[in-house]
Amino acid sequence: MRDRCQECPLPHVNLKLGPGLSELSVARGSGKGSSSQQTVVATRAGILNHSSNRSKWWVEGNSRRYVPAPQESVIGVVSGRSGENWRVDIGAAHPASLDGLAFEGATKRNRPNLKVGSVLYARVSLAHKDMEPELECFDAQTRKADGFGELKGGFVTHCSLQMSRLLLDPKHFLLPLLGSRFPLDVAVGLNGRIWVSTKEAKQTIAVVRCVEAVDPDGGGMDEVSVKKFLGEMEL
Amino acid sequence: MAHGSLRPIKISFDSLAGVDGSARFSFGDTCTALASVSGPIAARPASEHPARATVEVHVRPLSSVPGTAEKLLGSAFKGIIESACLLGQHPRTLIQVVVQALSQPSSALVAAKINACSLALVNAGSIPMRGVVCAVVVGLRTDGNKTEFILDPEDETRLDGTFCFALLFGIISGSFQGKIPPSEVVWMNSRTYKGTSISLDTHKFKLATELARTGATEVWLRMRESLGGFPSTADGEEEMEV
Repeated sequence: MRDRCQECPLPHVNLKLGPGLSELSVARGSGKGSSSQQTVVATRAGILNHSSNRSKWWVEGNSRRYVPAPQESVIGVVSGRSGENWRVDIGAAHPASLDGLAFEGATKRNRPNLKVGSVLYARVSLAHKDMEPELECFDAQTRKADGFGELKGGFVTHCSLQMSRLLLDPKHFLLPLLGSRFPLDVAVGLNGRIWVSTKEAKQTIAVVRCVEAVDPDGGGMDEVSVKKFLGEMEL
Repeated sequence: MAHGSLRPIKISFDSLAGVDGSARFSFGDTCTALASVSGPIAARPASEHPARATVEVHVRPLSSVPGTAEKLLGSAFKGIIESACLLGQHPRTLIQVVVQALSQPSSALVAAKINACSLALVNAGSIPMRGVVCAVVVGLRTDGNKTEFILDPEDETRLDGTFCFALLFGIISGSFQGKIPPSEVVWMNSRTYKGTSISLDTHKFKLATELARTGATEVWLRMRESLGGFPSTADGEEEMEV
């Protein structure tokens, strides 16, 4: 829970506060002697983590609603068009804007052919609380597609945000376990959406059911139970 | 004089589908409320605020359609939630809270609704909060010159009046020592049952407030326990060396 609502005055310039931590002005004393001091306060329930050199701190909690943050990879669904840009739904409060030319090798004459309902894997390039989020379909440094772009076919399912972070961790057991059973194409968006593409429908259903079972929100099944669960399905 | 103890508190997280967070809170067996929270989500252009999130609270009674009393409670809860959440981090969005009564109306049910809202907001995890609001009811019985305050009374009709206190536990002011954060009263509602008005001097009111604070502290500890924290963490929390 709000692990240690501890006070921590901010003397250090290098301290970076991640999600779940905020600087708040706290009044000290009362009446005439009061003065305001900046204090670090946890604003979400979860486990307090820090980087190895103790310069970055954050609270690891779980939630279902995505709040856009820059440089995060998300799965979006095109919901409309406004001029040159596409309106993409990424599950946040506001729809995101994707420039029609924000693809690798796109020119005015050679544009990707998107439609309303197309599924995309994109990177959030701009996420500010006062502005609509913006997406791009290429890697920031290399300017190449690198997996971003339209995802054709497949099936999109939802999960909690912590589950998407777990799936993106190379040490997590689930995706390698499923990949060892059948060929699998998966894209994981940090906005709680997963795109799955397999040869047979029952394999897609198996993936979706396993993701739901392993989700910390829906029970948090461990590896042994998942193996048993998969064994019960006729794959 | 002030006495009494809370009925056993039951907290559960229902994981309702279609919303971002939900929680159920009860005082004993006969006073349960369920709350759900969705947010930050898209707001109607008419109700969006350019600098902060808009909070909308819908209160649903146990039976029949919501009426004026529910509207009043809804606007009171809106104020409480706005004091607990940091709304400036999500401008032009909406935080939608729906509270469902699962028992007959009473002052304790109002307290249970506030507690359910707080838990649902923490469960959602997407709205930053400066603290958690915990509410309890303090009953009042007058006997000539003597006034008696009872914490979380079970049968309210036998009393002369009840107070419902909502306290925000968080770092608002002052320093934080020990395991329990400081609390301040953010909302108070009172009602009388015998038709006569009751007057209290500041000293007696302060007694009632402090009794409510002890009750709310216990509610806070149970909430923390239900969210995965341990009420009895070892003393000597590590200094955060940064």
